[in-house]
Amino acid sequence: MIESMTDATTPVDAPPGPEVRSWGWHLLQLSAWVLVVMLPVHLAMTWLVHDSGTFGVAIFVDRWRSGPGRIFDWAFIVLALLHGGIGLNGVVGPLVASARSRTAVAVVIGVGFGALGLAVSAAILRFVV
Amino acid sequence: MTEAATDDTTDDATDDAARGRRVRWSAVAGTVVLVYTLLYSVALLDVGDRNRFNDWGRAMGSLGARLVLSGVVLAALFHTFDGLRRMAIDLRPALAEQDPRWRATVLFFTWSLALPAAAIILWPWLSATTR
Repeated sequence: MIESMTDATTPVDAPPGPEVRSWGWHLLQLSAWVLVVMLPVHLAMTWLVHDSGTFGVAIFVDRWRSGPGRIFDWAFIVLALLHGGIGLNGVVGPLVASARSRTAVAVVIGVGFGALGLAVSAAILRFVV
Repeated sequence: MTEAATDDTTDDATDDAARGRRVRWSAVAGTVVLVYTLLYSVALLDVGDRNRFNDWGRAMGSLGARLVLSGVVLAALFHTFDGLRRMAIDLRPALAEQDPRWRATVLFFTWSLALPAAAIILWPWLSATTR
């Protein structure tokens, strides 16, 4: 995830240059800072405020009646899938030998998580209270 | 969960084993949270079909589901606090000098929030069973 700017032409005793972070690393960090707040709020609102045995559509009808509640749930799911997809790619990618296979893994994870994100976004935003 | 180092008489082997343990617990927590996110997303796909979605809800009332949920909360809290520790060290590398203290802090906050959360999740089942 962290690429060094030094290349084969850089003298060995040259001082290390600034590190270049990939866009995936920046997205992972950005989503992590937001999710640090959203994940505890989600867990508390979904499983602690209500008995988990009463989990059902009624909870979402109450919560999604207000716009911010629906936007919060949608943003949480999208960010969590983004964060999880990049993290999974960071774990699985280095286990794959060839660059082509790493690209294939990244594409499969991106398409899979992207499709799930779109589908769940549609389910949340089109839900009629 | 972890394999013992073959030559545990060397400090390097001990350090590697300890590092392996740490990496694995954070990976386990990340995997649990990822699986939860995927399952929660798949469940939300059914939110338009009220009967089918409420079937998911009924399943969440069982003791097994409550125990799994308690584990998810534990993993999520550990992933959150351990991630905060990593990001703080990334921003200020000097903090790494006291890494054992930060790791202990992560565990303290994780357990001090996870245990009450588990009690809240399990209490309705215990209360209904012992009534």
